[in-house]
Amino acid sequence: MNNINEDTRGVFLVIPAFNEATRIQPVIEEISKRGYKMVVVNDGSHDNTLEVVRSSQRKYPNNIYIVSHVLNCGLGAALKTGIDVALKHNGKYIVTFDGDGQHAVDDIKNVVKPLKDNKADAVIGARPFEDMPGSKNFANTVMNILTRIFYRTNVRDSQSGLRAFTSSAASKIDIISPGYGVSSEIIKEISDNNLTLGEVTITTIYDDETQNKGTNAKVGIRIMFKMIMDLFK
Amino acid sequence: MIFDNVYLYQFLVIIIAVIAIYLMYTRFKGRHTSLATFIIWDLIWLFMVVIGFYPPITDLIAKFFGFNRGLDIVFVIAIGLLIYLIFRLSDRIEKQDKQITKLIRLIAINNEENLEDEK
Repeated sequence: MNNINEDTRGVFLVIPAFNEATRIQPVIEEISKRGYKMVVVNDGSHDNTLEVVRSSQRKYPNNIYIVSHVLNCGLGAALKTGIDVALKHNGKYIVTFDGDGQHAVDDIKNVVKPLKDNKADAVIGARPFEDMPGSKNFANTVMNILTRIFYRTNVRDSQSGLRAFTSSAASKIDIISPGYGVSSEIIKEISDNNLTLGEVTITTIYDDETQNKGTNAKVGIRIMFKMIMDLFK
Repeated sequence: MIFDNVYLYQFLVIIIAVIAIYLMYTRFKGRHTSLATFIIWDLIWLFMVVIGFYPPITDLIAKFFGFNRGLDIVFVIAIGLLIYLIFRLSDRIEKQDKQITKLIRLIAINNEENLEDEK
C-alpha cells in the first residue's frame, strides 16, 4: 500500500476541500494508491466531506493527513494551513492539488520534475485554455492580463490550482488573501521573492460540476478589486 | 433672548441629546467605552444642543470657513464624518476577519486528525 518510489519520494500534496463530499474520495484514494502523501484541508464544509476523507484515511493511514477549519475561511487560508502542515511533516516538494477531480494524478510528477531537476523553485501547471468552456476561458484570460498588469508577471495560467514548490520556496510564500485571489497572490509572491518560476502544461478534466466552481466572471471581478486595493497598501 | 421663539425641534434636540448622553454615560460606567469616546460623543451632542438653540452659530462657523450657508458646512462635516466612520469600520472588520482566520488555522494545525484519536 505504501509504495514509495522515485516519483513520490519527498512529495507532499496539499488538497483544499470545501463541500467536496461527492468528488474527493476517488481523487485522494487514487493519489494514495500511487504512494503520494497528502494533507487534506477541510475548509469548514457543510456536507460530510470530513467523514468521507476520514474513511479514506482508514484505508490509507500512511498517506492521508487531515486538518479541519471549524469555519469556512476560503481557498487562500486552506492552502496556507495545508502548506504549514506539509512543511511540518518535512515535505520536500509541496504540490497544491484541487480536490474536485479536475487535475490528472499523472501530472503530479510532471510539475515536480522541474523542482527535482533544480530548474525551478516553483511550478505552475498551465491548463490549455482552448480546452476550457467559453466563459471560463474568458475569465481566466482576463485574470492573466490583470496579473500581468498588477504583478508584472507573465504566466500562461495565473489561476491554476495545480502548483508545486520546493519546501524553501513554500516557506517564503506568504499568503494573505483568504479567497480565490490567492492564485494571483502566489504569483506575486513568487516574483517578489525572486523564485524561479516554471510552467508545465497539464491536462484538465472538466465535468458539469467543476464548471460551476473556480474562476468565473463574478470571482474575476472580485479578484480585480482586491488587486486594485492591494496597490494602495 | 434666545428663548423668545422656541420651536418644537429645539426641544426634540435637547431631549435626544440628554438621552444620548445618558446612554453614553451608562456605557462608560459599565466600562463598555473609553473616557475619550465618552467625551467626544458628549461634545458632539452638546454642540448639537448649541446649534439647536442658536442656529445662527452655524452661519458664523460657515463664514469663518468660507461657506455661504450654515447648513452647507453641517452637510460637509456630516458626510466627511460618515466616510471616515465607514473607513474605520471596514478596516476593523478586515482586521477581525484576518484574526479569526488566523485563529481557525492555528486550531486546525494543532488538532491534526490522527487515527489514534478515534480509538
